[in-house]
Amino acid sequence: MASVFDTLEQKTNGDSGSYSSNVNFLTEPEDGYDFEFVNLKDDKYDCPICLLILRDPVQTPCGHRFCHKCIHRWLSESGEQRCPVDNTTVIRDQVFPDNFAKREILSLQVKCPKSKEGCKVIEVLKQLPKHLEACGYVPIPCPNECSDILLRKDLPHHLSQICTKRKIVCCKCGDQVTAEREQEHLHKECPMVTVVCQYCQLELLRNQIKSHEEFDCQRVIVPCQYQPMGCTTRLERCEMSQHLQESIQQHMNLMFSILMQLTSAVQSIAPGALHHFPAVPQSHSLPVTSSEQSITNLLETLRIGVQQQGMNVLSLNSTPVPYSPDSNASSIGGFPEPVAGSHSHGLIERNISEQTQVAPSLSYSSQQSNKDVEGGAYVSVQQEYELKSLKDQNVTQDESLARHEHQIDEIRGRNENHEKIVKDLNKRLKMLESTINEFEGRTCNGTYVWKIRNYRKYRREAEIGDTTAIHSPPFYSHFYGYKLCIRANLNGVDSARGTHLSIFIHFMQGDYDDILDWPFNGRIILTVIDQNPECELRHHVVETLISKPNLAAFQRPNTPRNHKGFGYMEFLPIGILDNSTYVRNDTLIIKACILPNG
Amino acid sequence: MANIAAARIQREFKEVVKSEEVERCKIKVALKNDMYNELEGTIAGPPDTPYAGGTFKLEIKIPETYPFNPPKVKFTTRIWHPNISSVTGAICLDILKDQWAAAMTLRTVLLSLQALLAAAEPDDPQDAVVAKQYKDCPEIFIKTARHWTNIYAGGPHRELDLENKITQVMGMGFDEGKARVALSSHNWDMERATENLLS
Repeated sequence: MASVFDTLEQKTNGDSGSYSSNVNFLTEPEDGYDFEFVNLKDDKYDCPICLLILRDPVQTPCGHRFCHKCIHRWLSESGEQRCPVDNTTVIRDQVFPDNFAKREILSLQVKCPKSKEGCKVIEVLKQLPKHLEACGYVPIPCPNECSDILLRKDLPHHLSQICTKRKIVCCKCGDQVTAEREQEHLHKECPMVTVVCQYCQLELLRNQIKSHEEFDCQRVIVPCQYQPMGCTTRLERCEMSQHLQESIQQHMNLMFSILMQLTSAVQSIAPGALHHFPAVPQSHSLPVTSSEQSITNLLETLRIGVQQQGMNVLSLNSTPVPYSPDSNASSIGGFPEPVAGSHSHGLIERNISEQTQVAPSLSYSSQQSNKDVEGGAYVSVQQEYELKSLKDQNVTQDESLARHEHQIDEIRGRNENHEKIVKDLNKRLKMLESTINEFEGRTCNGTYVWKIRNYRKYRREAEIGDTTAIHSPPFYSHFYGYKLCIRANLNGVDSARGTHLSIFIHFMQGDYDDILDWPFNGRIILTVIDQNPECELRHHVVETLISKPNLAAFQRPNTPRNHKGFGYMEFLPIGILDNSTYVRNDTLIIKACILPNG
Repeated sequence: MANIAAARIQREFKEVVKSEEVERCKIKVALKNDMYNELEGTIAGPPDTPYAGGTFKLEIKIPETYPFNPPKVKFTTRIWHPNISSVTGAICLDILKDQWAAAMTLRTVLLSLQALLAAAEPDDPQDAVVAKQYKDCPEIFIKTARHWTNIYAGGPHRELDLENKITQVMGMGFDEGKARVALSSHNWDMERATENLLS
């Protein structure tokens, strides 16, 4: 059963890319046509071999028709050289294409092979492949490659509602995600989704949670800032300030021991550093790296401490002790090898004497600062107390800041949503307005009254040639009738330019043109209304048009508005309009009455 | 390619079911499986022949190369006919062999077989014994064929004398079928039949 379906199924199984390509079932060498033919009464187009309708019919000299493929298979496979119907001898070369039958068959009408699925189309066989390329009941794979196979007619619904690979806009962050990933996106990725902090249960947007945990959250367990010094305490952030208060002594101890270790380390690594130091003034312009600088500073501090110790030693022994370079070297922290030569000795002695001279002042300043510390003891307790309360305040402010940021983000998101909604509503409003206009035009029942407000403005525009013609909103001759509009050239047109008001009727493409008679046949009454407040004095200007079927203006329009109109170039002299009651309150009123015949 | 065979059989099957011969109960086709490669055919014995009133079943096997090669057909109902083996049911008919044509169908095959029952071809026999009887002793052939039709194909005419002879041979301790074949093959000569059975 070689049919359209087989071809399609093969394509489904294979590469899905070329799915909609031509179905070559009319040309491929196959068995006959396995379709439901309409109004095919006799069996004259049946192939006696495949029992289907002849495909590429050929005839034998004995006058029997077969599918090209069927007869040639019979002649080659059976090895027989005779007609399968009447056994007369048939040689392959005698079989000839029956193009008459082929043409007849291709012009037979068949039901669409998808009629069982619901396709109602009946098509000439020759046109069937073209139909099948568009037939809504042919199964096709989803172009998004979501692995669904669906009827072509269901594709729009599938793509907009069902396809798991369709793109949708995240309602929170506005990013595009595929439908199948929407939940995953919301649960794991979307930065604008509100999530709960796992530590403090505060609700925050996902994109804030990281910085919240890193800097703000009071419930996150953080290490003590003295961890590098050896403090192993880990506490919730809110308890940390208390820890820092309570553990001042402990932290100082830690720092002290680190300092001591550093001191001995520096001495063991660079014994010469201390020796060199005095010769190098602070302001020396030699380039030093920052680490060298910090070591230098450290050494400076150490040196001062050592000198102080030296002073103490000196003051304990009232008589000056003869200076021994060796012993001094060890106490200072190591001169290099014992130095030979009196010149060097002299240098050292000078150094020492310089040191002893500087020492008293140092000692004084250190005592002075000690005094300061003792005197300020009371002040520092008070300051600490204030500092603590300030820190607490700071913590609460941080918290409220985080909350506010969160709220602002949320409000921003909501605002964006609202803007989208407003845009959408505006669009719908415009649609509704146009629908209402359309309805007004429809329900006027053929008598349309057009009020041209701002007459003077339009007239001026017509005079200077900006807008020479204005058109009324469309209206209908009756509810399902002709769609028309009025054109008014307030300053006339062509030969009537500057002298007359010109009025024309234009036909427009309407929804029901298919059920109407064309060309339009009937009368159209055009009236310029006299708006005199005294009813008796009103003199309307009335003209009646009779349609002329041979004019383009009355043919079915093939553009939204027929370019050709029909009416009066010289409807009313402008001079009369100007000083009359035809224009009142800057408004001109034109009435059109459409009266189709029959 | 098997698909072409199956597809064609499907169409033929519908054709046979719709045909007027089925309406007159002359032929019938039934599917044995849903692959359309095995069917059971039924033909009525033609009137004015020893087979009249009998119903004969056929096994039809469709080769994958159908309709470019003929279907394989044999009788499953036992029958006494020169062109059909009384033992296996194999048929000797040209259209099922070298005279097959692709334009033939199940319907034409069954009708040809019916025609074969009405007009035997003793000069091109399948069963030589039957053919010899057909030519030499036509009366005995007709009685035998009618008897077989009665026994195996539900034919209406009993041949009481033949049945008696079978009963007698069965009395000697022989199986009924073997007794029938032996007697039929020896023109119902009791002596030669028993001799044959004993040898």
